[in-house]
Amino acid sequence: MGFLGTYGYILSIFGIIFLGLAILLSLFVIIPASYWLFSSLSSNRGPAVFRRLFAMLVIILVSSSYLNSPTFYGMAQWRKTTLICSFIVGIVIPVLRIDLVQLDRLSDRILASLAGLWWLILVISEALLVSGVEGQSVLLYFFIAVTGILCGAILGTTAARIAKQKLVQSEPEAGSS
Amino acid sequence: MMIDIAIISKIRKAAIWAGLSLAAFFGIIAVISLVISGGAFEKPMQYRSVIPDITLNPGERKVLEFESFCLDSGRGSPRRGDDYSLMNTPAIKLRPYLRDIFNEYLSHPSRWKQGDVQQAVWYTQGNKKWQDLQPEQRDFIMTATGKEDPISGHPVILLSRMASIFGTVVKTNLLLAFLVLVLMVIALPFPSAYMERGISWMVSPRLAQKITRGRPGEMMDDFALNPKLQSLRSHIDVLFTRLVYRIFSRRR
Repeated sequence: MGFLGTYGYILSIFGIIFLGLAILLSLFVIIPASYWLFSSLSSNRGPAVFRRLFAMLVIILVSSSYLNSPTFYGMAQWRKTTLICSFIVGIVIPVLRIDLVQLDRLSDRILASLAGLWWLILVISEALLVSGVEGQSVLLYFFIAVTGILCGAILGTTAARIAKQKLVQSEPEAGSS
Repeated sequence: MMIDIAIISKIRKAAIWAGLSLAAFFGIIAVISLVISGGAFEKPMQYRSVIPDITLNPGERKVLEFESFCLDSGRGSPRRGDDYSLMNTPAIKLRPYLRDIFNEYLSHPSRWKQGDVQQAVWYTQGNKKWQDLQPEQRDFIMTATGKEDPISGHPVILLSRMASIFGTVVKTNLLLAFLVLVLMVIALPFPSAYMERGISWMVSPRLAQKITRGRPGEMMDDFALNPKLQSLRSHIDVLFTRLVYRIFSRRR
């Protein structure tokens, strides 16, 4: 073996060690990361809008990075349509069911459940990817749909909560006049 | 805005140390490689004495025929009418034994079949098992490389297979963890408390407290309590609330 071959050989041994450590790290961080995501998303305390908009950005970035990986090239070609339709569903339902909003709740269970479902599908899809199962179009469509519904629901529930506050504030005013 | 000079000097020191450590790491490996390879940069190739160099003078045109091989068995086949260009590929340097395979075929083109060479090229990718190859394909690889099943246990092939299996998962999980950490730091008032609750299941409570209540935790909390960041959060809340109020007042 020449210099270049030997250099590549030795570097690859270190590469295997670093990639192995990265695999272990990525397996460990996914649990606390999910906890941090659920708690940031579901909490109604403090300035929730900024936090939820940023969480929505995180979900979009992670989902698009995962779906655009070369492994899924050519799979689930109706991604944009699925995402847009599910996003609209996610935004419309909480706004239409504004009567169900409870202002005294400190956390939003629906958002936490949707984030949990999103995370669960991501983990299942990753497990299938690692085990070498070919073709997971159905699961990918499901993942895209949940991503769209979650992102829409983040905007929808936040807007519905603010609108409900406005309605509650304006009701006594209307009653007094 | 106040900039802490002590932090800048620490960052500079860390950058210098990181640069020196990386240079030392790659340098030591280069020296070891040079010693093992006996100073030869690349293994000498026989085909250079068989195949003449192609030179083109300015304005000159030549028609040449080439045999081509597919380097990646996972890619789609080219379509009729697709354009080809002649260029160097990094695979020749990066993929083990690929140069040896082409060297053997180019040195003795009449001895080997193109189909067997193609199978040997795909074998160097690491996706084909030695046992699945035809006897003549194994003969070709053994003649070219001087070894039986040469890629078995080769770290370059192992690394590329590991990267193709786990690469997407590692990238996605680390990206998620990093972005959620940023989300916590810039969107929550006391991120260290959330961080402690998130990692307490992995490590002992004392270690979790040490990590989150130490200097990094303090820095995160200080950053989260930055007045400008708090003002940004409040402004976005107010803007969104006004937007919702406007939409709902129109609907009514």
